[in-house]
Amino acid sequence: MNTQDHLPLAPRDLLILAVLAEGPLHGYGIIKAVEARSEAGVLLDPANLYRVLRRMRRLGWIQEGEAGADARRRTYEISRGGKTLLSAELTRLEKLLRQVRPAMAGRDGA
Amino acid sequence: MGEGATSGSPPAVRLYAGALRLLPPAIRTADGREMLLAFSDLWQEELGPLLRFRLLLRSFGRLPWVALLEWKDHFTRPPLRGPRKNPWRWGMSAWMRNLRYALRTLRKSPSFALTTVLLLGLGVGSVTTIFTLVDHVLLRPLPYPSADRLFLLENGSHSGPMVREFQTMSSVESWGIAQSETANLVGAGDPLRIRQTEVSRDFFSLFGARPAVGRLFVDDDFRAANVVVLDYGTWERVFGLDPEVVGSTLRVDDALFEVVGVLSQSFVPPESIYYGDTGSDVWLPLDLTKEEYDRIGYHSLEVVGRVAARATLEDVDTEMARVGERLTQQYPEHFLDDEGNSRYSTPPALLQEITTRPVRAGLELLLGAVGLLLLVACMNVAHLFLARGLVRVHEMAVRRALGAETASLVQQLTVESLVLGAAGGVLGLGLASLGLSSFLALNPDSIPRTGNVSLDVRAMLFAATVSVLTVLLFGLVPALRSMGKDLTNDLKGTSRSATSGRGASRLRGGLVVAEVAFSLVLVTGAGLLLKSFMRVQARDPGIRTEGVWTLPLTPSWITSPEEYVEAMDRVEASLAAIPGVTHAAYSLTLPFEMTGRGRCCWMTSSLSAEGREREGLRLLLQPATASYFETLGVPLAAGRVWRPSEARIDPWPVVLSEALAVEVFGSAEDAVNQSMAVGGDGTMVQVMGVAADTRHFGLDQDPPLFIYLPMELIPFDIPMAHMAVRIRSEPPANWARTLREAVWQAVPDMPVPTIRSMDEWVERSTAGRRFDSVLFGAFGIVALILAAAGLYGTLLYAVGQQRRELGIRLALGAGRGSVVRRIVTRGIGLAVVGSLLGLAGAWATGRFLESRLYNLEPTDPATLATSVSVLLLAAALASWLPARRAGRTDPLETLRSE
Repeated sequence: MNTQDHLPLAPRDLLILAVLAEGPLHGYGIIKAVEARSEAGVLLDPANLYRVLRRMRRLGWIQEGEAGADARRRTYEISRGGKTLLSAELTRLEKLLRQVRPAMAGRDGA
Repeated sequence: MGEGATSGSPPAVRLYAGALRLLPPAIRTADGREMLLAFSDLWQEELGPLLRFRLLLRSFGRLPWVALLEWKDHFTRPPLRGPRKNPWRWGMSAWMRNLRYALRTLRKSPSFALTTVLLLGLGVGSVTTIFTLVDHVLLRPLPYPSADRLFLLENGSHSGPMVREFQTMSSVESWGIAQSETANLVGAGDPLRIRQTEVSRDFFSLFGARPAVGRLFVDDDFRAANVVVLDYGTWERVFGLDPEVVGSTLRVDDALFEVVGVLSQSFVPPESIYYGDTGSDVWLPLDLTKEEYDRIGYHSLEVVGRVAARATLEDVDTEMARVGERLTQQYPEHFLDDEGNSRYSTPPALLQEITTRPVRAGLELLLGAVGLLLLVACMNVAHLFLARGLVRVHEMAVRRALGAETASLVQQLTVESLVLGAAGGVLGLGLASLGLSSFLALNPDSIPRTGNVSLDVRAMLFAATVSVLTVLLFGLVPALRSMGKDLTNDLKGTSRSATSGRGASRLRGGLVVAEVAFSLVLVTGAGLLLKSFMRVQARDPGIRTEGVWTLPLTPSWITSPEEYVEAMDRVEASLAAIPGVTHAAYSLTLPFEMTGRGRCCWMTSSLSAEGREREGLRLLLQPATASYFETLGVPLAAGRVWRPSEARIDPWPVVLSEALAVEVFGSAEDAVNQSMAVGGDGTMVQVMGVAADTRHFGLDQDPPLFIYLPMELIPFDIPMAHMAVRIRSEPPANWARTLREAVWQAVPDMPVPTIRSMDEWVERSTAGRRFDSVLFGAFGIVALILAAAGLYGTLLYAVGQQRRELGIRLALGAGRGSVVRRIVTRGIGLAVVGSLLGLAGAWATGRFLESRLYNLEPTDPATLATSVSVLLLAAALASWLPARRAGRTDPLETLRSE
């Protein structure tokens, strides 16, 4: 998988990958975690979430986790490829921020 | 997604479970349960109503979009699947594959596809249209409580003493009594012509009427109180739905009334019990204690009753007869004729029946006819499918030999049939809505209760189901035939086993003959009606209609002839002064206003001239102003018109219509300056001139025998003055307003209800005929198409069956021309037999049309010959197409496949 093909990531995808990087979650958990992390900026609905998850799984970014405490629910965890992608995106974003921050700093100073 | 998981859950969760069904099945199997669990958890957690509302909004709001995307992915990226275990459970992708395949197949045989769709569309469309109308007009109950128990007493109006006897009857639980007339409403915007109806206390409750604002009548109102209830339409048009109208005062003719309420919009007045619709109604309380209601001969009241709960209409009839006996004993001089026989007859009839009686037979006939059309259309479709099935036997055999399962063949053919069925249904729906709107546009008056007709979903479903079943049933024949049999013959392409018996072939021939006969009857009917319509249209109206505009006025407040003539002369002068107006006139009635049923107004049959009594002439007295003839463009055949100064001299100066002059004096010239005695009292009149005949009562009526006389001589019990103006050019902008203001300049409170051009009156007078010919014409065309399609299908089927025979004939040296001729001859032969039967049918049904024809016999040879040739021409075309195909048969190919 050539990670560069998928960059930049959509904010929603980035957030999902980010919360999964901290540990496996089931669908409800992902929705709540994304909501909390984005300070209610990204609100997911179940049908769309699973559409996104299906696509991420097909691309190999995430995989099904082992059954957790609640055996009825399917959990998802980030895959090795997903981790690579996530860190590539973070690197890209940080580089970008480094490039544009002086402009903000200049305004702050003015 | 387990159904069990949702039972006992909150409604929102169950709703979401349902909504998830929008997603493709594969997605639901994979993630449906998870989605539902996630939603359920979120629902449990979000406790505030606002939070929950937001959750609902985003979950349900986005679902359709997600579903759309998923379905798109589903079709554009079909997932790889393993071999199917159960072929009867068809996944969606198989359906889509078959849909694509079906569309491709149908594109390859466009004539088959188009014909089928057209036939189904015509069948579904016509049945839906007519059934919708029949349902609305005949089957639905009238919009009143217990409408099936409302009845009306026939044979005219009743007098006060009769009504009081009726009210004692035990088989009737309540009576509504009404008396209506037209009046002028003034003092609220432009003066308005209205219908005022006095009604009894139970009238409104009998018809379930409710007030929109204010109240309806209470007991005190019936003791000479001047109160009025408005109908919703008047409230809306005149008072702009202002609730303040309750409590205000109106002037109706010369009396003042207090408005106490407005009827609700849903109240539809029962049209069959009163007359003179003006589009505006006011309702007054009926005071039965007035002196005139004690007179047995004062017949003015219309009555409607509701049959008591345990009684029947027969009970009412029986009791009514007893009431009649009592009344006859009380008032023998009124109810017994010279021979002592009772003249009392008031048969009760259900309101619903009376409302629909005039059109019932016609509509039922139509419904039968379109039912037949649908049947014939379906049979034709069946035929086409059978013919096509023969051609595809080989294809099916090949596919089976290659390992196709029956199920997949059935599926493929099902999809093909459904595509055709759906296309036919859509076409039918379009045709039905087109048909219905043109039906209503053509026929605004003569069919009752068509106000709010919309397409009937049940009729459409019924017709669509019949046609889809037909296509499914016959579409599957090829697959079913190839099931479980030895395919060798089919593969070789011979069709020995496909030859049907002589009986089936006769049946098909018989069907075509019946279709041809049926359509000939309709085409002939259409031809006769169209010819009548054109003949009527071609008649000279006797007046020059272009540039003439009419304004019927009713100055009902005027109390003396002098006042009447003075006021109307002022209006005439005011109209004549409008720039562009060359002439203005008024008369008792104007040409083409009273076409059809109505006959007006002043008639006599006694006339004596040159010392001889003339009996049996129907003379019409037409009071008019002297400018009448120039305004309407009626040429004078001899003599002159009276001058306004001569209007009041004795003997009366009159103008005769030419037919009358010829009838009485031999010629127009001989009539001038003669004098005659007219009417029962033998009033002497002097003939000043003779005017050309006019078709006053309609283009299809004979010119009446008119005596025109000066307006000044009108007897004052007919307060009508119908104004006419002639203008030189096209009417300028705001023409109606200009005319109205000219009237009001002369007489301020005069309502001016309808302003129409004379051309419009003439057109309206022939609207019924136009409607008849369009209706019959439409059905005639549909029937013609069906007959042609039936012939085409039958011959196509025959040609398909006889391919081998044809091939051999061609191989043995038969000319292609002779092969084509043989088939065309067979087709035309069937059409000729059908035409003969159709002629007999047209002969037999012609008498139903007789009353609607004009100067035309129902057996008019020219019309019959034309329709037969149209039909035979269509038959020839329908036979030639399959024959051409037969002629193209390649003998080598046919024989090689043996």
